[in-house]
Amino acid sequence: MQIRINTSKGLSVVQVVGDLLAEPDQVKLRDKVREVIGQGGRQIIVDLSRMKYTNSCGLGALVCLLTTARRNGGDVKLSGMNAEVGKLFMMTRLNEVFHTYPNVTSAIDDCLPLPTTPA
Amino acid sequence: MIQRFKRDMSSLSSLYSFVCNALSAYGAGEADCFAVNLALEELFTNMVKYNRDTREDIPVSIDREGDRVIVLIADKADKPFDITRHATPDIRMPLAGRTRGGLGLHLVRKVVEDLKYEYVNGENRISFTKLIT
Repeated sequence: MQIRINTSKGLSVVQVVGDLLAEPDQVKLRDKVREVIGQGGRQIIVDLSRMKYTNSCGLGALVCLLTTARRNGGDVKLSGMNAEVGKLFMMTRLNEVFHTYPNVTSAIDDCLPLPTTPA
Repeated sequence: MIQRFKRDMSSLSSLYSFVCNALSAYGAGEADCFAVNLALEELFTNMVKYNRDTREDIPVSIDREGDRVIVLIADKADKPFDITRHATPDIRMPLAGRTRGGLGLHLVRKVVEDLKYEYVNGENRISFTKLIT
């Protein structure tokens, strides 16, 4: 699994390329997103359009990202998940926890500017 | 069809190939392959993570019977451990109130049918079926 990050105007798109499965993938994704948050990124879109498959470990990794981002005053949106992965979100009711979008463009369109951190 | 897998997380990719090849040979579609693979992978991962008393390979069999496939995975163990009785998280709870763990088993129960456990000849055996759609 590979992670590609594209940051522009305070918005970071984290693309997952490959399947998000075992612990090493989870750690890689977590570390990359922590890096984004550490650099001040708070609006994060995780693009899952190139992820064909995941499991409970992958879902746990995404939940971990969400809680980390929210603790830091940010948010994580998910875009482009395929139908089978979408079913896993419904089975676990995580579709009620995450904002999900059919593609990155619609996720970006829905990103409201977050309040700036007081100096 | 039966295949034995090394008790290691690196076996997940060959397990995935085995499931896809078997399901495809039995005329199942991609959604069925996704479901069986998810269930087997969750069970296999649990066996690798939590049974460290043995280094024996883990056999997996997939057979077709009528309109469904029957899947069996067996784990050599000194004592019975029924994973199917393990508690699953309350997914109705808000995220902050959810307990960690058990999500994999919850998914297994959701994606396949007739999940059964038995302890036979020093093996924890878990079987399930999946209707071919």
